[in-house]
Amino acid sequence: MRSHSVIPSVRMVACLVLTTLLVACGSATTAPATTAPATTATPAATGGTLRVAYGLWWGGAESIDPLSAVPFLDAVNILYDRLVRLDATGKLVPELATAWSANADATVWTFTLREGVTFHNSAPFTSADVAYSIKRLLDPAQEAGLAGIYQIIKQIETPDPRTVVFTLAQPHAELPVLFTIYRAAIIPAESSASIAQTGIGTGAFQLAQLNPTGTTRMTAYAKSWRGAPKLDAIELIGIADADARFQALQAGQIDVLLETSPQQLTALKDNPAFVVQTFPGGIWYSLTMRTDTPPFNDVRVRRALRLLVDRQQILTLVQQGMGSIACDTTVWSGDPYRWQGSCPQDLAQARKLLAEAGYPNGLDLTLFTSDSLSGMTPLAEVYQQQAALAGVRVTIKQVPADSYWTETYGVEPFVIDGEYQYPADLSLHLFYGKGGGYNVSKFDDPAFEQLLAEARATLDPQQRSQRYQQAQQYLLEQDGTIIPFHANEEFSFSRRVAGLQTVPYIDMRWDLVTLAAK
Amino acid sequence: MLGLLFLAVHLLLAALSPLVVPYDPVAFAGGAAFAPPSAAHLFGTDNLGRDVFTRTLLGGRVALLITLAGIGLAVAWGGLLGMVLGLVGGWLDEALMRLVDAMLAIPETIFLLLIAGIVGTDHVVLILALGFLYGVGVIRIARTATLTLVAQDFVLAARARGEHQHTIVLRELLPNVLDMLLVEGALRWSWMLLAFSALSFLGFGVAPPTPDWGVMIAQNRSTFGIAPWATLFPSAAIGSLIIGINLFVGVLAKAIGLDRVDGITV
Repeated sequence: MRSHSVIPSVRMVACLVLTTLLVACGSATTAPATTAPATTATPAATGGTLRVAYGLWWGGAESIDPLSAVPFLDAVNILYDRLVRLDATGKLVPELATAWSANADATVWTFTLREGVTFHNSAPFTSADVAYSIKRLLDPAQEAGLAGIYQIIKQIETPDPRTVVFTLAQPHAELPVLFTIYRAAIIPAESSASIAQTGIGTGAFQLAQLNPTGTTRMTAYAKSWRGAPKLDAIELIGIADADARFQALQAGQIDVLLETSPQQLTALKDNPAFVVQTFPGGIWYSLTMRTDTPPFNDVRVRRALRLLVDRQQILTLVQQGMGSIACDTTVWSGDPYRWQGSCPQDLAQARKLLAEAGYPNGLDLTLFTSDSLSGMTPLAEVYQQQAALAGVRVTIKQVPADSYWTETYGVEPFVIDGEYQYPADLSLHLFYGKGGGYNVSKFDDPAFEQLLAEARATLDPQQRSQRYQQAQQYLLEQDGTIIPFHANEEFSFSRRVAGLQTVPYIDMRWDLVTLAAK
Repeated sequence: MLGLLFLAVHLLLAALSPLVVPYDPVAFAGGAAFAPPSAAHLFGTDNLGRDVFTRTLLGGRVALLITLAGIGLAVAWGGLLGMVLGLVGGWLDEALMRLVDAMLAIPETIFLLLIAGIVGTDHVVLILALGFLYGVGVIRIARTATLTLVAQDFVLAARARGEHQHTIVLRELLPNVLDMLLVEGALRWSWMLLAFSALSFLGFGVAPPTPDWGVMIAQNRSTFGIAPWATLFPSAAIGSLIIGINLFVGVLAKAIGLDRVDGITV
C-alpha cells in the first residue's frame, strides 16, 4: 500500500498548482485581443437557448409557486406576469393591467385588464384570475408572510372580465406599487394546488422542465400577448457558490450572470468576450441583529453596533466603491422617498453606549455568513475589524452556501443578509413591518407602524414623502439592521447577449433579450 | 535533503512568523486591494488590501497545529489498536478489520464534511475527526507489521514468560513497529494537511479572517486573472510543504532501512 503513497500525493499537489494555472489560462484564452470594444452592437439574433446562472438560494428546494416560502425567483419572474411593473426609471408601467384609477380618497381602486391574453394552457386571462391571485396574497396562511402588507385590501370585485375593483380598509395613495413585486404574479384561478408543478402563467416563456438543483428549462410561448419572444428558450442553471458561478461564465457554461462582485467585474472588464453592465441600484447587504434576542434586544447595543461602522471603508473594500453609502435604510437612492441622512462613525459614543448597556469591557458576538453572495464574507471581515476598535469582538462563522438561507438566516441572532430593492412602501413593510415577510430583525414597533400607516393614508405627496423619510430615520435610531451601502447592479454576460435592461434582475423582461449566433 | 529543508523552513515559519511578519494579517491598512508585488508588499495585497506576504507566512500555523495534533492522535490510536489486533487475532480481529475496510471505502472529504456539518468546525472537533479518520488506515499498517512479528522468537519467548498482553505490545511490538508508524504517520500527515486545506477552501476549516492558505485561495480564486499573487503564493506554500513532507518521508524510510527490510519502495 505504501509503495504507491508518495505518487498520488505529489500528483495532488501538481493538480492543485495546475488547477490554479488553468483558471488563469481560461481567462486569458477567452480574450482575443482583436475583438472590438464591448459596447458595439452584437450580430443579429437567431433565437437560441440562453443559459442563466442562479444561486440556489434555497438549496434546491425552490418552488415556482410565487407565494412559496422558498421561491424560485428567477423562474417566477419569467413564467408569470404582474398587473403592473416598474420600469428602469422607477415608473409604473402597464403589464396585465392597462389602466388604473382611484376614487377621491384613494379607498377604491379600479384596474382595467388587458385583452387577448392567454395562459400557457391556452385558457383566457380574466378578472377572476386577478381576484384569485390577489386573494391568495391576503390569506394569512400563505407561506410568503405577506398577508400583513396586503390586509389593507378589504374587498375584491370583478364587475366584468376586464375590470377588477379593490376596496381598501383605509386609503392607500399608491396601491398599484403593491402589485409590482414578483410575489403578486397572476396565476390561473383555482390553480393553487397545482401551480408549484405546472408554472402556468402568462409570461413570455413556459415551463418545459423543472429541476432547481440542475437545469430548469423554459421555452418560448408563441401566443404571448407581447408577441413571441426572441429567444427559443431560457435555461436556469443552479450553482450555489458565487465564485463557481463566475467561473462557469468565464468557461462559457453560462451566458449571463446577474450578480457579479466588483472584484469579478474588474477581472472581466478588459476581456472583450464579455460585457459588464453596471448601474446604480438598490441591492443591499446587511448585518442583521434579531431585536428580540439578547444582547440585541437592548437598543443601546444596536445603536453602538451601528455607530462603530465606517461605511465609506466598507464601501471601498467590499464593493470597490461601486455603490452608494446608506444609513441603514432598505430604500435605495433612486427612490423618491429615500431619506438622505448621515451616519458617521463615532467610536467614543459606541463605547459609551455599550458601557451603559452593561458591557464596559466590550462584547463578544458571533456573526454568521456564507459564500452564497460574493460580498457577504468580506463584509463580515471588514465589520469585524471595525468592531474591534470599539471593543466588540466578533467571531465570524462561515456556513455552507447551500443551507445558509434555510438554516442560518432568520434563525441565528446576528447574520449577514443580501437583498434586492423594492419600492419604499413595500420595502419598509417587508423588512421592518409587523408581519412583514422578511422581517429578520423581528422589529416590532408601534411608532414605526404608525408612521407607515400615515404615509399610506395621506393623499398629499409631500406629506407622504415626509412620513416615509421619518420612518427611515426612526429605523436608524431603533432597528437592528445595519445597511452600510447600496450596491450597483452588476450584470456580466457573453458578448452574444443583448437587450438586458437596467432594472433589478428580478424585474428583468426576458422577452426583450436576444442571443447572437456563435 | 530538499524535503527536510522545506519542512524545516515551514515549521520554523509556523513557530516564528508572528515575530517577523511586516504587517497585521487582518488589518486593511496594508494597502489598496489587489496591489501587485512591490517592495512594500512582497507578495502584493488581496481582495481587502491585506498583505499577502504576511498572510502567507502565517497561513500554515493553524493547519500545522491541527494536523500535527490530528496525526499524533491517528498514529496513537490506530497504531495501538492495530498492534493489539495483530497480537490477539481471532474473531475480534476479523470483525474490526472488516469494519476498517468499510471505513476506508468512505471518501474522506465526504466523511469530514459530514462531521463538520453535524458537530461544527471547532478546532477540537477537527482534530478529533481528522485523528479518527486517518487512524483507521494506520490500524491496517500496524496490524500487518505486527503479524510478521508475532511469530518471531522474541514475542514467543515473551508469551512463554507469561508476560501480559499490554507488556508485549509496549515492550516487544512497539519498538519494532515504531519506525514504520513514524513513516506512515509522516506520510498521512501530508494527506491530512491537504484535506484540511480543502476543508478551509470549502469554508469548513479556519474561519475568516484568520490567515489560512485554503481560505486565501478560496477568497481570491475568482480574481486570479487580475491578482494571481493572492492565490499563487498560498498555493505554492501548501505545495512546498506537502512536497517537502513527501520527500522527507522517502529519505526517512531509506535512512531507517524500511524500504529494504520490507521490500517497500517508498
